[in-house]
Amino acid sequence: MSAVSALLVRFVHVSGMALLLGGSVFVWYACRTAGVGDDRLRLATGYEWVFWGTMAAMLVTGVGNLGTLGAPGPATRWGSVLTLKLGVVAVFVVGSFLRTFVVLTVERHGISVLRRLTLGQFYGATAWLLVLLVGLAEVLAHG
Amino acid sequence: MADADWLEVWTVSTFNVVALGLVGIIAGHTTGALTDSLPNFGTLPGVVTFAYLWALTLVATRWALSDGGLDRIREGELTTLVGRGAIAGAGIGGGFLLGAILVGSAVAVVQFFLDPGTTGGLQVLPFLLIILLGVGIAALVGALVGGVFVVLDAACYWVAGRFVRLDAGGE
Repeated sequence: MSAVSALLVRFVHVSGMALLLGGSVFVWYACRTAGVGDDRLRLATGYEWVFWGTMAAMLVTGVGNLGTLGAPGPATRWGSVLTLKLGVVAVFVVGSFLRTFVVLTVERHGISVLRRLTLGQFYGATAWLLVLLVGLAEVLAHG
Repeated sequence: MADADWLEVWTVSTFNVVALGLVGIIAGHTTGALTDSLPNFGTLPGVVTFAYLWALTLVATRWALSDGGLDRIREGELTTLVGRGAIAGAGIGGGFLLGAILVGSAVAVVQFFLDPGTTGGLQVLPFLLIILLGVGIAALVGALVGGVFVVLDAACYWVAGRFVRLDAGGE
């Protein structure tokens, strides 16, 4: 991979993470401070559109980053951290799929159908998992 | 045929492609296969391959989720959805391989015209038979993967349903 395309791949990956994390914190804060009305629901729905498009880009650029750095053997320390990160990503992706389904159901039937957790709590959990992923990515990037 | 909800189509298709990619990456990493194969794969071919798979999945998912989407699980129509998922998966698998073969063939034809000495004569009938066999196998694998992913999607939909109560308070 040329230096320019490697830089471009890294740029898209980092920007994508900023979008995911910043967006989730924004929706979480909006739900916490202003409750959940139509505007907040529209915000959440908009985030879900952006989220899945960005997740696809994150997957492609994540593989691209690995190609640039050279995928480590699974038994190395770096490889173990990568295994852990991939495991957390898998949990995060499945959890996000659940969150989007909840948002879709609320969009179709109204906010009163929610029980156990609020929309804000879903986005709070999303943000915290993303912070964990950023931490693991930092360990991978800087040891 | 009622049109599918676009956010649902976007979410389900992207989730399935991302989950499939993740399974591949995790399997490749834990077995050490990524270490050998990744450096040989260019950025542009990787992005184009992924975009093609994603586009195929988007179209197939739109068809599979028309007439009610995953909400049909609530009406006990999981088997119908799995059947649709298998057909959609077969289309994705067959279409993916066919696309790859078409691009490869186009490259080979261009190479042949540019430098006839580097490419041997084309045996059309065996080539078509191999394509037919390959696309058939890819469609079968795709059908299996499609069916499995519908079950996974349905399981997630069911779990998400634990966080809502549609029998009371809904509009």
